Amino acid sequence: MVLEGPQLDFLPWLLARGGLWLIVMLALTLLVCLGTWVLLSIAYGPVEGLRRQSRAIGGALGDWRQTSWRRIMALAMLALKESIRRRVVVVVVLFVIMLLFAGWFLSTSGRDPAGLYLEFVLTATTYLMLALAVMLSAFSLPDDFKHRTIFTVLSKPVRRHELVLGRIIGFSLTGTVLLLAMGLMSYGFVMVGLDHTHRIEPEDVQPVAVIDPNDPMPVVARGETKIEHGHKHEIEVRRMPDGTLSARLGDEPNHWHEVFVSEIDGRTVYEVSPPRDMLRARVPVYGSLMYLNREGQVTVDDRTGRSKGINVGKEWTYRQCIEGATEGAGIWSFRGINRDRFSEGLPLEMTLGVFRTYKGDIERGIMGQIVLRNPHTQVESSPRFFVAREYYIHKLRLGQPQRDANGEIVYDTAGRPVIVVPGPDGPLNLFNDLVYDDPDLGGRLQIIIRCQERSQYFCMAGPDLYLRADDAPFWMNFIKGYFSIWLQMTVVMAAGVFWSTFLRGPVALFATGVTVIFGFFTEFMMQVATGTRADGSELEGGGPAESALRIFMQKNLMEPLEPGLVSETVKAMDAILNPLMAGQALLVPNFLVFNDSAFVAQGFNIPVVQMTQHVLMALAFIVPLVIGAHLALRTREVDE
Amino acid sequence: MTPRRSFYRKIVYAAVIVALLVPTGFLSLPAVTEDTGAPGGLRQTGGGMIDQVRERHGLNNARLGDVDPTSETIKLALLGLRGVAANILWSQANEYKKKEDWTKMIATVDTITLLQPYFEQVWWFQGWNIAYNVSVEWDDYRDRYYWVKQGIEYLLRGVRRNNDSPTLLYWTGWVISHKMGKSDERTQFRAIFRQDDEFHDEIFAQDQQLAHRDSWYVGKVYMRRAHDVLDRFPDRTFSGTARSIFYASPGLNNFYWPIALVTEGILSDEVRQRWALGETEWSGSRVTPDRVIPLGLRELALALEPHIKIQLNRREEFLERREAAWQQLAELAQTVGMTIEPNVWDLDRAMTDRQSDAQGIVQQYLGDVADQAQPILDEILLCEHRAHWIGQYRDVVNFEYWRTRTQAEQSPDAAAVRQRLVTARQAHKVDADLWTARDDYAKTLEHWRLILAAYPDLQADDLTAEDVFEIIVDYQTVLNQLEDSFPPAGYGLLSVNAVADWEALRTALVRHDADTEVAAPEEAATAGDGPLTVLWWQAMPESLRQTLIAAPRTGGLTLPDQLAVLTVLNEQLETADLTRQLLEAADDLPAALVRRARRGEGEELTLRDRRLLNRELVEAASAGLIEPADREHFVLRTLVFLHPQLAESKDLPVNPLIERIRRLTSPIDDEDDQPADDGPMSVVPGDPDVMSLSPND
Repeated sequence: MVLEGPQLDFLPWLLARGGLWLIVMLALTLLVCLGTWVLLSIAYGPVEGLRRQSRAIGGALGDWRQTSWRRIMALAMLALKESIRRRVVVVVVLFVIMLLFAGWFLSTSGRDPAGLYLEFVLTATTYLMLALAVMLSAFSLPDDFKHRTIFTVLSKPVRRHELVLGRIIGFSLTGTVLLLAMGLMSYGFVMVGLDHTHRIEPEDVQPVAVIDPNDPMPVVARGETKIEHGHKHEIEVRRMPDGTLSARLGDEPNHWHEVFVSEIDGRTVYEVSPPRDMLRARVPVYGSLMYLNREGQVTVDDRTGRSKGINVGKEWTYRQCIEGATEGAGIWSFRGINRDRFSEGLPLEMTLGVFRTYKGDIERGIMGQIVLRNPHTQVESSPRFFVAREYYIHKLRLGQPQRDANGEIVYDTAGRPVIVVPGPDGPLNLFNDLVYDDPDLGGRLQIIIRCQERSQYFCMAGPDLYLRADDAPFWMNFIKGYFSIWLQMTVVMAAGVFWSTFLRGPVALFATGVTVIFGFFTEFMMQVATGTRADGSELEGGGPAESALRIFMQKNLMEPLEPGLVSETVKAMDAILNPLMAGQALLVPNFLVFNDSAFVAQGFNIPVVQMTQHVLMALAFIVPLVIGAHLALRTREVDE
Repeated sequence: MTPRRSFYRKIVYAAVIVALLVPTGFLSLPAVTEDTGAPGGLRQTGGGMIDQVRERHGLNNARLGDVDPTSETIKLALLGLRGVAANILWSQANEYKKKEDWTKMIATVDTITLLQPYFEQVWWFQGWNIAYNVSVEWDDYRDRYYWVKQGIEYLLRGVRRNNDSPTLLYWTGWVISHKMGKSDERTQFRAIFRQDDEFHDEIFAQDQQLAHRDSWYVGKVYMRRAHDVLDRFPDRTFSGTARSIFYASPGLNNFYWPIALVTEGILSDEVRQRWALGETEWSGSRVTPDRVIPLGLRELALALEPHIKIQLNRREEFLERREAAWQQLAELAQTVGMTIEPNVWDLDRAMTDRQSDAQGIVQQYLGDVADQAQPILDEILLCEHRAHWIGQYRDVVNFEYWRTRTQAEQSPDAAAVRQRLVTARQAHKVDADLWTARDDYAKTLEHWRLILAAYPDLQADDLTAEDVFEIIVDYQTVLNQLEDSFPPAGYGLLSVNAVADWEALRTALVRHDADTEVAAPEEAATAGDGPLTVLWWQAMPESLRQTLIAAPRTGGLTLPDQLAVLTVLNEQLETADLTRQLLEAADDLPAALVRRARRGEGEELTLRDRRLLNRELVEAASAGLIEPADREHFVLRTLVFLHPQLAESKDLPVNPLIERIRRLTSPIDDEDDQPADDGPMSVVPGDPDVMSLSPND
């Protein structure tokens, strides 16, 4: 799957993002303190102002010391009841209607129907839940103020922050229940929508001309199913050692079927199982990719500081290329490779782009080679050759159990099979010779991909090659996907409650809505504010003022503005607006980052590290929002 | 507010609602839809005013094409924001394409067409986008085929949703024809296409019954259907290309079809049949037992109908009519004592200027009979005008070239070219038998030369030049590998200018006819009175003999006659019999040559060596009838230089291909300039099939 942007480990990520967060929070706190002090100073004089301010802060802290979870939960229950009264179930009804008609739009005939189905349910759920979160949270407090029902609550010994927390927890409880319902329905919908089987008539299968006598389970017949559900499979019938027949339907597109063969009244009957491996959660182990140019050297991209390959002229620079039959190569460095994890060899999966500078033999793919290398001793395995097929996942197992003269598998002292790969001077032990046992990073190994043909290119990005360590259960991944929706929903609810502590209902709704919309565009806002794209290149068109001018003047991004007063003015305005916009972009949660649906849809396990990051990110927004809401509610004049 | 007032108000509201419902309902009364059975044959009758207006402008959903409930639902659900939604989806589709997420891209473009199912340009653009742009992103030709097919299916969905839109039908046909038949992967694509049961049984079968599984044919069927729809519903529109090309395309497919078959190695009579079909469809109508299928030119005529009532194949007719009118005018002029030469007036000027100018001319010169002359002059102008415009339109579709080519392709020489080329390529590229390849390439070129000589229209044509050039390049490769020079000196075969004096040769041959009196006994002693002419005469078919005998009466031998004679002579050159018989019968041969020939008798000679040997023997035995080989233009060079010379003579821009051929042969030009004989570019005087125009002029 496509993973754009640098993939940081947890700790560097925490340091980078946490540091940034601390700075932003500190700046925000200072700003708020300074602002309130100035206001108070105007009213009461600087000293008295400071005294009042510190008293207020002390009071707020005092609130937190006297937090009662019982009260919070009682308030949460109140919020839950309120949301039920607000007929939130409508969302579920809407969702059901969407699911009912979704089958019309979702085609099962493409190459990856599972991806489409999952993407649809996850996206639909996300949008519905975010909309619900906005509506629910933005109106609750203002309505209470409006209808003065807030007094009945405030007359009880309730702290203001408990009021805030109660709302957020209550609403997210509501959301959780709804999300659970929607999740269950989605799961059922996907299962039913993708479930299918194929009919095999005896005439679809033809016996093969030559049966391999050395194969213990030889292929005795082959064929092809008819096109059903938009696709067809290859049929392969094997004779098992006990004489029975066993068959399976091939791996394209993206799934396979088991086939039960039986003889009834002298006729061969094929019974096909439901699709297998259609819904997966692959657990990949990624390496870091380094490109070598034709001289065998690493070239570094000045903008990103990362190794770069050849750009063959694609607008999207995600995949970069290496030249064939030169020193050019793509080198993936892996860490944490050990016997326990890969006891049966390295299950490699890769997708390579192919770029031809001349057509060559149209009927033949471009050949490449894989070499394993020990990063420490530089010992290399013999190359393993393959023919690249663009956009397909090559599945290879590198290394196999060593066998002695009798064909028996050789085991090491711990009772694990010894895994060997062919080397230039006889077999190499994968874990002893090729994996370097780094004391800090664990087993390190390099996998080198080269293109074998002159003037032809292979194009690749880091995540295009990985070791498929394991498969996690799909349902688990599905739940993780829904959890990321839950996180987004909760953040939105916190934002909604925050805005509603000091804004009227419709205004709070607007503010929360804008927060969500901004949340989908934070990256873009940052790019516009800094004038640079994610890959470090310049973003044309200037800041917000210049963009507005361009829209008004109907000038495209590339057209230079005529020098003069107008262009100078907009540039000056941008100089002020850009930092503001960058600040906004920092303050708003990036919902695109939260979105893990691509992982679920494309069948990759959502890593725990990533989930932890998301939880931390959600907290990073929720905590300041709760504090802010608390303070805002405290300063609010409520007639007591 | 009292409850009673509130109640009254509700009553009033209800009354207003009902009052409004009546006219609204009347206006929007639905119509009754009848299915007339034909595509686009749904007809609506009755209905409210809105429906009638819709029907009048052909905007009824049923009239527009299949109604898709999904599409209608989604349109309703968007509450009129579908334009915005379509825009967003469009840019999303572009983004997915950029990021190579093909599954989502297809899903997105599908959704766009759900939103705007009657926007033909969307179907057309995205169908093309998938078939042409997405397909080439994939490396494997099978994947590329898959995407081309996706594009075609997409277009076909558009066709169904748009009630057989001529535009979409035509472009579907176009993609099937040209993407399958002209891309680099054409051989593979066409092979898969032929075996693609799904395509033929499920997808095409929904639309029509197909007689062949050839992409050029299937494409043609769809293009023709576009014509049929336009014929039946003249108010429909077609956009995307010139009408003449729109109507000529199926005809052109007829030609590309056999061309493709040949490159794929099919040499059976099927190829000739396809060309024959191409010819009938290109030049007229074909009648089948149950009905007359309007074909080829009738369609082109339709295209031009709105402007001028002409048909492409009627140019000659107009030219004849013009001549006749001139004749009439000349006769009329004679009655008043005037002589008219056809070129006496600047007709072009008269044609382009106002009619009154022509009137003036008539008044001025033929004052007395002006009234009678006027209609004749009108006829001349009309014919001139139409002939001119037919000529213009003919150029657009390359009409005359294809007409000539269909005839040429049905000739035995063309069959020979195809046959020889396949054996040559087989010998060259598969069997690595360079000697056979060399001979076969050379013979292919010889046949080509005969074709070009017989159909001079082909000489200035790029497509032909390209075909010939490919052979020349292969031939050169083979010669290089054999370390022969290129073009080879002394190729052996006799070409038209190898015969020093055709009349002498003819007389020498005819003398051997038993029924003919000896025409000129005194010449017999001087030329060709040997065993050679006897052998040749015996080898001639009866029809050719008659032609030779009749030549003095019919005004001498024509070029085709000469070529026919040469074919017989050249066939003889390749036989060992000729060597043997000449050695036996001829007594005045040079001793060295005889020795060499006898030595070669027992051996298996290659065709070329046999030809060269026989050629020498023939030259020696022909007593000056046949020019020595080194005095003669090599057949290939004649062929090659036909092109530049014609190009220059017609003031055409220099063809880059011809430049390449020139460069290819230039080293030899330099060598040939050394001896005193003719340079390669100057031409033997009297050579009938080469224009006497030298680039040195």
